[in-house]
Amino acid sequence: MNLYREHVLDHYANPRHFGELANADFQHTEANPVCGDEVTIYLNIQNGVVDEFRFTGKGCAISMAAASILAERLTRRSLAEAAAFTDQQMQDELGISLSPTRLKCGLLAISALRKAVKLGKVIS
Amino acid sequence: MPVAEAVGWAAAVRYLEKLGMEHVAEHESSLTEYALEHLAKVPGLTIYGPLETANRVGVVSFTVDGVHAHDLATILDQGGVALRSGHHCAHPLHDKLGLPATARASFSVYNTAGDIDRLAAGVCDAQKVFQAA
Repeated sequence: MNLYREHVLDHYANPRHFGELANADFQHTEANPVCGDEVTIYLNIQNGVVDEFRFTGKGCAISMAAASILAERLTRRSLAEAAAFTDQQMQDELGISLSPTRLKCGLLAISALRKAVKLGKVIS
Repeated sequence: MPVAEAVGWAAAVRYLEKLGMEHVAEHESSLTEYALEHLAKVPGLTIYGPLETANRVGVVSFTVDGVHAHDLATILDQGGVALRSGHHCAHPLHDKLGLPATARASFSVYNTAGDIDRLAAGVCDAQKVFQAA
């Protein structure tokens, strides 16, 4: 099957919500040292809702597209919903079946998001 | 003692000795030379390390403009060409070179020049996938 579906390539080439967020309420950088991919998630929360969701990073098409899709999907959703977003939901949003190695790329952003929410305002 | 591994390793050594290590080295060197020559002609492809076979073994690391090494390896894999991608246990060197990852082709006795042609063609296909985005 083709991993590089149009919408994955589109999110990679035209990432949504890309860029740093100064004074973010939640921020976390997650890296995969094995492959060198890195994603930073920034969240601003207002009244329990994700007011702004931004990301920066570098990496392969799968990891960057996943972060972009996640940002689009969770902007203006409740923080509780963002925190509860599952690995399966992330894979469903990507719409592709990933091998165990590439799964780490696909789940890097969601992993960063979870740690950002759990650890609070952490710069790492 | 990992018996199965030891037995398997012994079989591999017998196989290579039967071929003759000098022939194995010669074959790998000629494929490496072929790869260096042909991959260097692919637009947007950068080879790391010396561009001649002296001081080289049968591996060639490279990057392709606009295509991350993992994506490249995945696309080539779908076409039956297996590459390694990432840091190849050489993280400090990749940091020094300022590279997030490289792709790496390795050659052995069962490879042919045709495999390298398929690799070069696959790289061009991968570039097309990402150019279309």
